[in-house]
Amino acid sequence: MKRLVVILALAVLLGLGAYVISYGIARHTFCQMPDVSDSSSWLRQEFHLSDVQYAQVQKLEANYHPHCVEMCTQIMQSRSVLKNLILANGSMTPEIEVALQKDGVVQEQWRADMLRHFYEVSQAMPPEEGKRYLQIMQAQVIQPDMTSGEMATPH
Amino acid sequence: MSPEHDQQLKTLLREWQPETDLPPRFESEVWHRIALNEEKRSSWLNFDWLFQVTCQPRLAFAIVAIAVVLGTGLANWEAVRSYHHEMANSKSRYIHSVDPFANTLLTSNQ
Repeated sequence: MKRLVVILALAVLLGLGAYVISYGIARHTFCQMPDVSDSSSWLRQEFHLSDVQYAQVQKLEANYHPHCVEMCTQIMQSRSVLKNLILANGSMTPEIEVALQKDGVVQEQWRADMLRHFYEVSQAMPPEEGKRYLQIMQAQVIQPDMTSGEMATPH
Repeated sequence: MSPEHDQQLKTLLREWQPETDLPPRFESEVWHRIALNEEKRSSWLNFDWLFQVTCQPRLAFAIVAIAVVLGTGLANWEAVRSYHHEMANSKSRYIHSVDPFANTLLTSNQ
């Protein structure tokens, strides 16, 4: 009985030890996690960027971010105006038509700017990885209502 | 005991027949009980096999080795699983940081 208890305890202890050590090694080697505080750290992991390439991408992201925030504000304002007009009128009016046109222009500008940024980022990557990046990101331009979870990731 | 007496005893035993009446199906009942007893002894639920295994050093070592292999395999599986989960979250964070429309959707849904 004593021998059985000792062997089972040893098996459990060594099994747990193996789990903890293997998990630690995996997380520090082939399963290294991207930095949660840095939104562009995903690019580094996913597209295997070198330090120089990553620095260049970070610079591009930093330059693009204020413009992205500005576009976000414009879209929200345009949507808000359109929504208020739709709810305030019972049928199509010239004001709604103008608001729809303005919303279309804002959307077009945003898509063009975003695509320009995607091209710039892809050019900072190795050619094959740049192509893969564009394959993933093009969905944001073509199907803007799709979020990342719904996109297919070609691998 | 002389060989002559021994021979006589053997002959006597061969001729002797018990006069007791055995209950019906006595023999089959006996075999049934023996079978039940053997089955119980070899059952996996009474853990006798575990006691027998731990008495053999090779098998005891195998138990410990299996535990280590299982621990390592489980850790790798869990690490890969959480890596993919974290990468998906990270990708989502990136897309929300570069796509104003995704940000607008996120804000309007809150």
